Amino acid sequence: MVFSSHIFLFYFLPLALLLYFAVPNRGKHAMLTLTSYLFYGWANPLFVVLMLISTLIDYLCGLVISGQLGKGSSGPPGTLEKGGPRTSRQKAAVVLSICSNLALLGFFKYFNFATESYDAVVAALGLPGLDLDLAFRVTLPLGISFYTFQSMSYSIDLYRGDARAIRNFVDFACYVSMFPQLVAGPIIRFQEIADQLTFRTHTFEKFARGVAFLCMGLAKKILLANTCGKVADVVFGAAGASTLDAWYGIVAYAFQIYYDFSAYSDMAIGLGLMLGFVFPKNFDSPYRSQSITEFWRRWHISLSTWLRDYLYIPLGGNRKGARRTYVNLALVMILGGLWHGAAWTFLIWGAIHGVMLALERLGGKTSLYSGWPKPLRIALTFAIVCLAWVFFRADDIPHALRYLSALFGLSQVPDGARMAGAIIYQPYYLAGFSLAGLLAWFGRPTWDFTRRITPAKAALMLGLFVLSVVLLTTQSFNPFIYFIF
Amino acid sequence: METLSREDIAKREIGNTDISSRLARAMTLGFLFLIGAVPVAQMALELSSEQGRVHSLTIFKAIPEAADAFLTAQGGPYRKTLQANARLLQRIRDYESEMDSTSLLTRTLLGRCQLLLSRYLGQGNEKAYLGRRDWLFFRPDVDHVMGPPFLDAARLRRRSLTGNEFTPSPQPDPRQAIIDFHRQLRARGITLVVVPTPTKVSLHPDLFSPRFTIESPPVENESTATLLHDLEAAGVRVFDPSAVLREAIAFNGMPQYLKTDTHWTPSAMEHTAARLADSLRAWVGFSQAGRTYIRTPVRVTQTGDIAVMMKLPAGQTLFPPESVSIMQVSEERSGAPWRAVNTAEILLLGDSFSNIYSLGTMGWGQSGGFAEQLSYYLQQPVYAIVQNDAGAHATRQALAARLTRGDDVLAGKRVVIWQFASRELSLGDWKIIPLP
Repeated sequence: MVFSSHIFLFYFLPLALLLYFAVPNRGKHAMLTLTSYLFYGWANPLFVVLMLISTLIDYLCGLVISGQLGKGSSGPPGTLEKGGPRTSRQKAAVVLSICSNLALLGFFKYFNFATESYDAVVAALGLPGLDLDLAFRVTLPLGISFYTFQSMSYSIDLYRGDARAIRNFVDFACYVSMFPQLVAGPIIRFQEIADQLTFRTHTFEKFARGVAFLCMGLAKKILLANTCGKVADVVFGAAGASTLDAWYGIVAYAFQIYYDFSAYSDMAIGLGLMLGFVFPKNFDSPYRSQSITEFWRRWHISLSTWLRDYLYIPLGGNRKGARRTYVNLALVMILGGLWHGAAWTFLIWGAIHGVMLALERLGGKTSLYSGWPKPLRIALTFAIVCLAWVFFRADDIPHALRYLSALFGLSQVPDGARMAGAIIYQPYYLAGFSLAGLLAWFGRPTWDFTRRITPAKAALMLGLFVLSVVLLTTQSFNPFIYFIF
Repeated sequence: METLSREDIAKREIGNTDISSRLARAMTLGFLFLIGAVPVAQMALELSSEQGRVHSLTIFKAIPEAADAFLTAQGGPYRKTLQANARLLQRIRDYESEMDSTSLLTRTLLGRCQLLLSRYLGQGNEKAYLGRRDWLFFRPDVDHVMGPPFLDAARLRRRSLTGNEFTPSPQPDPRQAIIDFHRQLRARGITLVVVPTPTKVSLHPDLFSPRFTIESPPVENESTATLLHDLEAAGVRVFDPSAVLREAIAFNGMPQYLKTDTHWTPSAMEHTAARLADSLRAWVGFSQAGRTYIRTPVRVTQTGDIAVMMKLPAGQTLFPPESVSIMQVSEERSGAPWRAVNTAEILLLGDSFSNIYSLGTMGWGQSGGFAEQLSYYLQQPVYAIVQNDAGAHATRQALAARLTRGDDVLAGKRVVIWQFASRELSLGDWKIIPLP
């Protein structure tokens, strides 16, 4: 079920809100969990079982780590001493939690990739491959990249002494499955929400702010992301492109992925607010970055901080010398790339960012062009990000290389591909593209724009909601890009 | 310096929303009204209708249906679970699709909104592009011509891996299917003639993009030449209408396709049939005594299928119906309208390009289609198996089914003409179908 769909906006959401507010406080988490499981099962009912098993394992591991398993107590469990000793049971429990989550992720996400890569390698050597039957192709469960990372953060935070275990299974299941952020984030770390699971307020101000976020998010998706996405799809789907078309296409894709993903995050934050939860910011005008280092402080913040805290720092971070720091940065970004998708193109995308981060670290965490005027620093950073996006968007490495050739005028344009101009230069797409660019660099982010809500702003936001719904009727299927991760 | 957690920062930012409590309540209630009014109005409408059935509640039937699927499925618990899950998933998808299509909101807004987008912003929809001078183009046709080479190895491999446990993967390589079919027919002493019908945008790129002119040659997918070469190397006869139709454009400048429909004009079809008949006479010797067919012009007016796909309000004038003259074929002796003759030496397997002007339900007249015109130009009877859509496999599948039932459609045939839309080369499932 997609947020930007008729059935979600006009059937699931009103029902979920009605049920949530109809039950007394102590039943709210159970109701939210039920509706979240319904939301998740809508994509594929069988995957609900998978999420339930994962939740159960992490819940039990959490109790073992915190020493609460089998203990009945009315008071909240305490936190473990930070840096203190841990028993072998506790160690085993955190390892089990991490391994089970990584095993799930590894199998469902990377099995097909591994077998195809193996077949490609052996075929190149003239050897017979596995050539598995279609029956062995694994379907990727929706949101698995998100909820496994989320669950792992719980176990690791408990083990580190950064959080307190949840004794109530329903509360924990609610944390893992909560529908606003289940399928495409933000990745909510347990410590970011632990207190709110115990106590949170439900006020008209919060709900109205949530409405504001939801309206802005939906408008971003329908009016900006989809418009730019059409341009990107046409150019990337063509047999070739002129230099102008290629740059137009990749910048359109940069806008598409930004507005698509930040729209989802806005809607998730808005829905969370309606339910009384406050989720952290996930995007902070990333295309205004003046370096790649800064870009990763502004883009998909929940993922970059997760990777920093659970991968980069445990690997040693910057504490083991310069060379190791660069290796750690590159490794974390490569794994971050692979997290996005099981394909060599995502790995290369991650590697590009990793190399850039390492080079900037070499220069003291500033860009290689830090001495240039600010607009140029922003433009160059954006250009580097766009060149990396080519690998993110392309079907495979040859496609990415062909696209890069087109960007630099090094390829021929077949006659068929010349038709793309008839679509992408229509005023409708040029207007949407221009508006997307203006807002990306000069507009106020949703967090800032909705901080003060006047009657005029409220009317604007509800008006944007209505306009988005009207346009939605002309679009039959509106998935978010990050649903595929 | 105090370091705030991301949660603390978020709470501070959210907690400082500057909004009056009155406005907050108004916004909350306004939003709830907006999202609540739609389903309530929908249910009220459905309850007051003749059927009195609230569609949104029908989802609850999915559970007993899934349970039934589980109980009746063959195999162990795992297989039964998969079957039940597949049934449930299908039910959910059908439900969502029906909710969208029967929605009061969609029915009220879709047509009007689409009309505004098309009239003032030149926008098509997910199935149609709006070209120049209000010409409509079917999106899959444009995607085929504009898109990557359909015989590119990486692309073929990707397409072959798009299946899952619910949907089988397509067989994406047309050469395998066509050459296999050719060999099966040759073993029966039958010649196969393949007729890949070009798309509108291929022949009229100038009506789609200002980067082309009326003098521009046909624009094809890059793999088309490779396909034709490989088929001819394997001994398959190919009749490519592109050259014929291009000649007609060069001769009189007239469009060979309907303005708001995916298909060719009656004259383009007749011209193609005439030239195909010439080629068949050179390739195949017909032993049957001919029949005498005559033609009568008939005027037909209809709204193009792409205009229909735009889902515009009834009575819209942006894409008015088109009027064409078709040549209805009849038998001179009896005066009866043309009919397929199963003892004919010619079998036509065709898609909607063959059906248009023949199948009355398409709205473009009858007895004037491709099979009929072939009969007229050859003055020979023709038998036809024609199915709209899925030209890559539908008619071969139907042929195989007939043969399996003991209906030897191939008996006495000297030639099988296989006509399909060329977009199938990029999008079709080219199943290998063994003939019994």
